[in-house]
Amino acid sequence: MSYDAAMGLFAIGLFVIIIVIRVVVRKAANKASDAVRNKWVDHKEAKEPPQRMNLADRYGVQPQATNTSQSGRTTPVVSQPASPKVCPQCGKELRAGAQFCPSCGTKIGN
Amino acid sequence: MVWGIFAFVAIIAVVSYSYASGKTKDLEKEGLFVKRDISYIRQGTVFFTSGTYNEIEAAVKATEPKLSQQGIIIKYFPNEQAITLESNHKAWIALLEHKGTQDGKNVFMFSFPQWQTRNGVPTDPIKMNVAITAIEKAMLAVDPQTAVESHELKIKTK
Repeated sequence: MSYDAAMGLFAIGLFVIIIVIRVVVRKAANKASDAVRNKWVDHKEAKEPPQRMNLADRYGVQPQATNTSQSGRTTPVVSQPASPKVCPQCGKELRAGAQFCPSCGTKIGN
Repeated sequence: MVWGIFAFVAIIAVVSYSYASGKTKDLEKEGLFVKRDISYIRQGTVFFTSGTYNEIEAAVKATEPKLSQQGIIIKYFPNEQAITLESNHKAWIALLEHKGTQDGKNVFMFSFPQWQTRNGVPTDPIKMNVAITAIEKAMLAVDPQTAVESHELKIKTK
């Protein structure tokens, strides 16, 4: 067998190997995707009510302190200014600690 | 010769992997990316906040320069009280919309109605993570007491 014929066979072999690897990888990926989908369906069928969590916990930020009243409702502890803070742009009254105006969206500097 | 080709392919693979993981680490350092379970793509994130649409729009606008650097296009729909984020490659689209009020809190839902996949895997999961991270941070900036729920969604990928 000549060198050229050997190289040709080698190239064809390499091509076939690449195709086989591609098919195998694709099948594995589809299988993994199905597994995720099945997990998804199982989870949905479990009908567990979604759990509500504080977004600040996800970022390791301490949310503002809260007061718990006798009725069990929690309200944020906020220091009340003598007069309510208003938006310098539109004059709308601002919530304590607000960084943006609820009416016009102006950024409020502290 | 053959070993040379194999070595070249291996080097290319290692370099691309290092580049991709380095990019993710940079985004993480900048605070634009947070490691999370990939299932968030198929879930709707519901926010309960005392912030209004205008406040949230302003907070999202504040992050817009960083997001546009990442190739994320943001559109605002004040009449519908909705914000869309999409990749400039059209690989996915995200929607944040005001759903109403509950117990005196405004309810907003963030979800990915569409995304492209390759072999069942999302093609641009890093930028999708950047998008949801930006929305979460905007929500926290407006109201640090924001609560979240994750809801399963029925979504079909193309």
